[in-house]
Amino acid sequence: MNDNIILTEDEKDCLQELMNVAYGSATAAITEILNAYAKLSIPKIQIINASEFKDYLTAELNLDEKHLIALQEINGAFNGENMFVIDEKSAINMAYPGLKNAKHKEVKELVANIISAQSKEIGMMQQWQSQWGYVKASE
Amino acid sequence: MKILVTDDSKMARKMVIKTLNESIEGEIEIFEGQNGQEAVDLYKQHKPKIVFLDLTMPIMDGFEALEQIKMFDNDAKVIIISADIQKTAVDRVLSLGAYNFIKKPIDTTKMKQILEKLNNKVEI
Repeated sequence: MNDNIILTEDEKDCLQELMNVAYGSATAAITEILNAYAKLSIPKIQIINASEFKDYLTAELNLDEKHLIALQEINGAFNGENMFVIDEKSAINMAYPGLKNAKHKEVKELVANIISAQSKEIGMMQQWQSQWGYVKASE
Repeated sequence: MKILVTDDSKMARKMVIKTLNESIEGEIEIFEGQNGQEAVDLYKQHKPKIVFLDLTMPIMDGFEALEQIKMFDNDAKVIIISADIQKTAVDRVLSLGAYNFIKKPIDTTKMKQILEKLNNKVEI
């Protein structure tokens, strides 16, 4: 089966706008909870074969770092899968404004717990990496 | 009547223009821009009665374009249409003098209501 997908410029534009609206809504929901503001950037569309996806991710991500991934399956007239990837340090940085600005005590406590637990994990993983003599992928 | 529609997405511009054609009786002349800089240049050149402006765009974003258009003509009627629906963004554009804010995906009924409201202020 030929898995090459060729999208016209109009189709790419449509997909880009769809992503723009989806991420705009998600960002508004998160920043409302954290009482923060996030500058939105223009989504980029890049088409790659599913068979090349693993290599693409390996090249794009620093595999020495832990990443948080959210997967969402889309079914219906438009089928697909949405994968959100963020490295742990960036996720913690994203959570910090919530620690200071969140309106609800419960959100502040939740954010504090997440930051504390994830920071400990990062430190632990870095310690193991050093103790066990693993070389960083970037080296 | 001259109307300026600025969005980096062709599809988004098409949707706005389609709604305008359905809502406004009489002749309309539409100018299309793809970024904030084009919006400012087209506004200065054609002085449209209504401007539809996206926020997240290349070269110059909608915030800066709105600021420059309002600096050039404080009476400009600029309607923001954006996926950036954060309260801070909405408050900012309204404080910069935007006439109204429409969130994406576009609710055509809301857009028509805003155009009807504008009808009393500009001669459509």
